Amino acid sequence: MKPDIKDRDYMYRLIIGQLFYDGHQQIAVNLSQALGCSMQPPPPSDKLFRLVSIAKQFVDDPDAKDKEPTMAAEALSTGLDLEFDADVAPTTPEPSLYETIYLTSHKAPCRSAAFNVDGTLLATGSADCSIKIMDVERIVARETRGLDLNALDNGPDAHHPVIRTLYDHIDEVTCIAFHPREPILMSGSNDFTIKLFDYSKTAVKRAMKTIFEVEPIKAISFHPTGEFVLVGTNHPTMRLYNVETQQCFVCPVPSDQHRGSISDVHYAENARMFVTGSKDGDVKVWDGISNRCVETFQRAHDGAEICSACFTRNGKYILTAGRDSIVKLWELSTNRCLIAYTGAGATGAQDCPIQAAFNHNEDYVLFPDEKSGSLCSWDARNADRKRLLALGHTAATRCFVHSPTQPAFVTGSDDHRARFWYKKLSS
Amino acid sequence: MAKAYDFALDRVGLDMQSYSLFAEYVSFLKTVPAVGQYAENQKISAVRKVYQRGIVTPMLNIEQLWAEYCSFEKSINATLAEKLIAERTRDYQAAKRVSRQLETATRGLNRQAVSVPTRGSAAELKQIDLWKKYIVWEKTNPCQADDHAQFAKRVIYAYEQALLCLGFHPDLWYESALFQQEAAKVLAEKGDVKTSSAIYEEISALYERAIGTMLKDCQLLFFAYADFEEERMKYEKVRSIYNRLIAIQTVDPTLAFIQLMKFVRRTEGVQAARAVFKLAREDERTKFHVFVAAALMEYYCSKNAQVAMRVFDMGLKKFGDEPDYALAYVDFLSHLNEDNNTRVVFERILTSGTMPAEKSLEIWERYLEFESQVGDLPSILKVDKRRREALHSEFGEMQTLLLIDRYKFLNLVPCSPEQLKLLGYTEKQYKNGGLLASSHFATTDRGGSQINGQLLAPRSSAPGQTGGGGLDLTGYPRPDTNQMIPFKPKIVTTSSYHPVPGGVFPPPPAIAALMQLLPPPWTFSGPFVSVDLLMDEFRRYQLPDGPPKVDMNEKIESGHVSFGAHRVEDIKKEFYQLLATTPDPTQVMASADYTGGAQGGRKRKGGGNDSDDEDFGGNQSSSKDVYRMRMHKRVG
Repeated sequence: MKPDIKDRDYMYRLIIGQLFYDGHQQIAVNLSQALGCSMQPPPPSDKLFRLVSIAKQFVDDPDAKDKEPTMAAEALSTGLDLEFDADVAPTTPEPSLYETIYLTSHKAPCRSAAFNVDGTLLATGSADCSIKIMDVERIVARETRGLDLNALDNGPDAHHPVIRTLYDHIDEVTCIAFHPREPILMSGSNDFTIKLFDYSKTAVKRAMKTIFEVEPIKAISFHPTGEFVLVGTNHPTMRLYNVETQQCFVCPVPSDQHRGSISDVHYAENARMFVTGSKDGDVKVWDGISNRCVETFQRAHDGAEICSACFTRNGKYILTAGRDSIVKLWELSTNRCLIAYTGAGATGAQDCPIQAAFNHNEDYVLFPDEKSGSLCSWDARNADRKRLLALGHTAATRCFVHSPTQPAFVTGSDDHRARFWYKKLSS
Repeated sequence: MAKAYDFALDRVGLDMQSYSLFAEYVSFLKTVPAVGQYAENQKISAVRKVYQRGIVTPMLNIEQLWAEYCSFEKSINATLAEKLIAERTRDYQAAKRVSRQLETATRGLNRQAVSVPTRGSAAELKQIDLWKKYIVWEKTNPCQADDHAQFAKRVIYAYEQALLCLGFHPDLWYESALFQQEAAKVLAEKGDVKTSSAIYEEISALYERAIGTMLKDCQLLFFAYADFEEERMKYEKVRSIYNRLIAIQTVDPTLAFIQLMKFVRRTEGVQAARAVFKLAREDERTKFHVFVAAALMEYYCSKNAQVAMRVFDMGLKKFGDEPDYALAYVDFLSHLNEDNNTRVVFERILTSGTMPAEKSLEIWERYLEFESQVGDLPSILKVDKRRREALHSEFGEMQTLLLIDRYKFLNLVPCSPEQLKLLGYTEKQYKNGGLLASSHFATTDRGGSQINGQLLAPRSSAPGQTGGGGLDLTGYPRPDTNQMIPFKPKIVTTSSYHPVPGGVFPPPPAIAALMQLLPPPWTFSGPFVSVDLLMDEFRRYQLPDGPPKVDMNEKIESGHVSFGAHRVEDIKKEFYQLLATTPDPTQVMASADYTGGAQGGRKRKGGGNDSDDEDFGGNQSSSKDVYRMRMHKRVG
């Protein structure tokens, strides 16, 4: 008797999830109320349809045993994939449990930050024209082992988290990116240049290479091979640079380009696509090979400027944040907004652009709220709001990046500080 | 309870993070109620023992443990503590130093990683690299342990840790076993037989674990395990290992059977090996290699060529269509110098009709070679003719090429390379070269190459073409810049024909490189060309009727249009000298020399500001204007 009830409950959840997915929000809500679903409504999911089609196939052709394992990918997906694992509980620690374990100060507002690919290094850039590179493991080691390390025989420097400080820009550093393979850091600045630093040398201060632009740089994104880099500037035209030869290329079709300055650009992890967000309010998805625009979400945030846009790991979804303080998840296979994460910006509209991000396994969506100075977080699958986390900055948070590998993120603020947040394993 | 702790310390006490274990153990011991003097003393010595064990083990938080130990000793007996602590300080310092190194050596290791089949991603390679580095570091004996067992224990522990995360790497398993084996040997030499035999047992267990869990079908580990057991004279076990491997349905057992045969031959003699061969024959999964191995064994070990031939014959019935097998057979026969037998076998292979024509080419070639080696001319010609007939369908009228084959020896050919190319021989030779490397691919190529006529060209361009979207070795699609247009960002682009706003066309790469080598524009200090004057000059210029002649006068007249840098410097110098010496500058200003220059400058300015040096020229002249104005003012 018991398992039957459970199965029925599961079925109803699937039905409601399917209704959500197919865009019948009202019916889904009514149905869930009518059925008295005790738990919160399930996330939008296409799973029921898939199950039905498999069953149908089986009924039509019961002999064909060796069907392609449609659902086999279930165990393999690590990130967010609503087609398969929409109804799973998050396994990672809730973002509100993170704590600041390291704090570093710039001489001016800190407005850019980046982790490297495996999350071992962290860089922050500031309006004081400097860039700091920090060793994440040292930060964590400092915390877990206590702060009594200054008395060590190796001297205090051996464990200082800031391993490099780079001064070569003459204006605010607006964006940073780590090379995916080599020990190279790329930074874009308001001084119209993109600089490459070889941080494998301990005494590095100056750039080893400079790409001259004519507009303030807004966003950069490395191709996963590290051979190319996408550059977004104040000008609407999206540029692709060959890192080696410094040659610049653009999409040949003028109508593909944005109409306002580009605020964010990100390659998908498989390099097949990239996504850009612009001040004109559009989000564009581009083909990674031809650099043609393949999809445009016009007025993605009802005309509000787009602050950030990035892919999920599997490249199936895009997470965007707008100046309207709403974070949206877009599904690429159906080209529509699947989930809107709302509730941020309740205390007042934001004045500065800020990024939204997933945590390291895409269980949560994180977005710093400017007016309340706290971090909003949602369950990425069912948009359930989680507890707030006070970020402790005395001015607006201007940059926010989550580590790709561990429960850690960094926030930079106009109060000149960069805070490193980390979820301690135990105690 | 204490036993459980001791066991835990034995097992993982070497770990970097074992501090908590030590601390818990100590606190547990301290809380044990002890009644009476004797029990009290027992307790103290037990605690001391744990501490002393802890402070010589490199780990995180060793300082804390040390501090606790010091306070513990002091709390018991202050005077004795001095001595005890002083005794231990050196060991502790060494352990602390090592733990520092350990921390750097293990930095970046992901201990939480779960063993998964290798995918060759960059992060994975990095982890492997880090683990190996850590193991190598442990192998250098950083603790300077005099006791080999202690040292071996640490390294083995490192291996164990690595295997937890990288269980799908057979090399790590093997290396671990090998190291343990060596360590056991060293220990046995030193007389520590008990530890060494314990280690031997552990090696068995290790191999068992490897082939029992993650690397179920890794033949390499099976063989390594079997060899190890054979070394220890445990033949029954070796047998069972091989049987296990053969019993795995998914693995091709040919190699296992061959190894088993060799093993049985070593240990039990040829007779027993024949029984294995029989078994192998009955297994329908085995390939022809078993027959070759068995025949060669008969020949080399029991020195019996007749038996070997019988084995080959038996195999030929089953694998008559395998050119590799046939070749192995005829090789064997020709090495025996049995000409007639060899010929018979050739005939049998070629006439039996079991082998497809495209596969028989090789055999034909070998046959011809054999005949030209040992036969007389009529038989050579006969074979050659038959070969041509047999291959006629494939090679058509290219008879010369077949003739070349007849005369070549090793890599010597009877034509010059150019001639070969003319004859179209290259592609065929290429095929044969590839055939030596891997017969399967070459044979399939042969069919295809005749159709498209040229083999080398499609081969070499294939990697580029298969990409389609430009897939490179890393598996990521790369942006195809041919589908984009070059772009040079520029702010003022009114005069540009570039379709995309915000930039202009850049100079071609070669010119861009040259431009980068040239000095920047602001280092150019003249001579500046007045474009207007120059154009005027061109306009006024009458094209001469005859060929151009050198006319000295004309050159001098238009000299001010393009006077050299030296001339400019001279004039400037003169002018400044004049300014410095003359009492009335206005006179100088009014002089024809200067006004002419200023007018030229202004004209240049009007001439368009599309290049930097011209702007610069304009600025210069305007600054002179200001100077002149000031001069006028002062005079006024």
